[in-house]
Amino acid sequence: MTTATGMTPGLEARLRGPRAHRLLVADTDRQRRVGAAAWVTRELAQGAKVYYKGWLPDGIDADAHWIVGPHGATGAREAFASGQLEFLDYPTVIQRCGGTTHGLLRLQTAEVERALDEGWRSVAMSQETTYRAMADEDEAAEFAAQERGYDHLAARWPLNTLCQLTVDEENKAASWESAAVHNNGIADTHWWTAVVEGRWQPAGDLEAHIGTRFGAAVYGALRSARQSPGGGSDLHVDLSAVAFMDVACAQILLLAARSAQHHQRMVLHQAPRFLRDLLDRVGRPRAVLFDDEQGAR
Amino acid sequence: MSSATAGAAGHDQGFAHRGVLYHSPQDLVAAVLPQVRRALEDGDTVSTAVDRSTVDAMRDALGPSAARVEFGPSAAMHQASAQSFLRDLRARARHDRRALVLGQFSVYSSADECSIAEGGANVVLSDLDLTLLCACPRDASPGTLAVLRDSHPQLVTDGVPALNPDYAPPLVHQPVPAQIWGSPVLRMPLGGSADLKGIRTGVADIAARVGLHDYDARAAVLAVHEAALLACAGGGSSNGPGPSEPVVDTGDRHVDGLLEVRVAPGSLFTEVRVPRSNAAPTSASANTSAAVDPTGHVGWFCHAVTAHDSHTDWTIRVLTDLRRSTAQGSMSLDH
Repeated sequence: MTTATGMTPGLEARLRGPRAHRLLVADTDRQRRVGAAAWVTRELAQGAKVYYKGWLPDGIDADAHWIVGPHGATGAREAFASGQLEFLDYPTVIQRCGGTTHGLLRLQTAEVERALDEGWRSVAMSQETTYRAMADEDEAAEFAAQERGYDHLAARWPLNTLCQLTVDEENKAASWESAAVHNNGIADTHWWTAVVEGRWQPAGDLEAHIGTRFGAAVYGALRSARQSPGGGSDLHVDLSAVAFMDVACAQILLLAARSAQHHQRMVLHQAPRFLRDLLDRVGRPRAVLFDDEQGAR
Repeated sequence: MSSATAGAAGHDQGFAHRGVLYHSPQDLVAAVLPQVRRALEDGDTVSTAVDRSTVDAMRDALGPSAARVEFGPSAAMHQASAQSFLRDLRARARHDRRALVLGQFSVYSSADECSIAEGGANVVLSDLDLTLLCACPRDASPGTLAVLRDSHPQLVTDGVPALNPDYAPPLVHQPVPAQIWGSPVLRMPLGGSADLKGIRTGVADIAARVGLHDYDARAAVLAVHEAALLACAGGGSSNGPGPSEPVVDTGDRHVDGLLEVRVAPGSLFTEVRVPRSNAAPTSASANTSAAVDPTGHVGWFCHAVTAHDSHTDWTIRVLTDLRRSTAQGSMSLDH
């Protein structure tokens, strides 16, 4: 079932929520465009200055990009003409920031400050799927640092960010790392993630079809918990919003916990009885505790 | 196929399906009397669906104990179809004790009809604690006698059950016709994993309508989902899921599959079928290798699951026993 915007109700609800930095995940480019267009439409309607970064086919100007076309965001063409919507293609972005993470943050900071100086109520940034090679750990670390830049900006200013990922088009390493880095803000077709009262909360339908990206998100959540300053390294997972989980995803969740380093544990909160039995049946390791078990905090 | 085993004291366990050849009512009663008496001594329920002369002979032989036997009309188990036959047998089974049923081959049924009913019993009643004694007159048609020999894992000879060397277990590529569970109440195409969400919604709706709720409904939906997922993967991982095994990954695989759900009294039956050309090579021996059972984990969430492999189709069937589900409510449905 889809809504008038072409999205599933769950996805639309998650894109509308208060989360400042999300990753829109789609199987196909068409699905990604539907989600991105809806998000941009809403940001424009709410009076935000929108900075949109993406790809332009050779010989095509920004005013012919799909986001301002008939299948793009409502009001985008007028917003592009008025300056409410600004578009930058990736080669230009790289040129302006000098190809460095620091330069990118400087560019984004200037954009936010300029938007607020112009009197816009808030700022929205969206980036199309980037086709990174994600060839090694250094590139993955650089990518993670760039993504943290959005969080730093959002901590200072009213900034909403939507990163976009088309799974069919990105390579596996890039898809994995992208889902891992955005582990607490994924908006996929039938599942999504958030952090609720300090607990990582996957929600919706968790099934084998999205198993790889779910696994990446779990891995990323475990990594974030280990790296969180001041907090314990245990990952607390709220399962109350999981509508469905199949054997593959139960297995993925437990395998991620089993392979966690430094004696890191996973504490599962508010798991329905069926889900508890499923996880036990799949083979819950000692590193995974339910919240009512001894030792769980 | 029979799941019957002998317990420590020689008592039957599981489903015991036995054929009995007889000349006369007295001959039949003499052949089955030791088992009937044993069942009554054990507190099992005993019922019959035999002709009047056999009932009279049984009453004479049992004496006062005959009062504890439910003597039904001979046509009770052969009213219209194999479906009604299997339904009647399932209704006679008990959860709290074992049941013994003595029936006669119907003179009104063809050998083909008898074959479907008897073969179906081996497949769909295997979860019951039930002893089924099927009596066939020695002067029955050759076709009917062949059904008796082919479809009963045991034959009663001189009052003693013995393994039947002529028994032909159900062939994995010749499943019992799904029609014995009635007409489909849900039929959906299965083109790939993108269809699973809709299938789960449809099955959940049916589960609610037949009285499955909460835990049992979740189990029924998950069983069908896992079966459909296996079908999408063309048979799934060669090792099957497990804590250290690869996860099923269907990718963008497209199959021209079909899912059908049927509701019979007491059971929810789902069949997922994909053309053999869609099946991965690893599934070719999916149900013939004792070491590999890709459907094993599906059985965690239902009461029976079977895989049938033929030259044209790969079929997975899932059976949820509605009466056991509502009473149980825990993931201990394995057998």
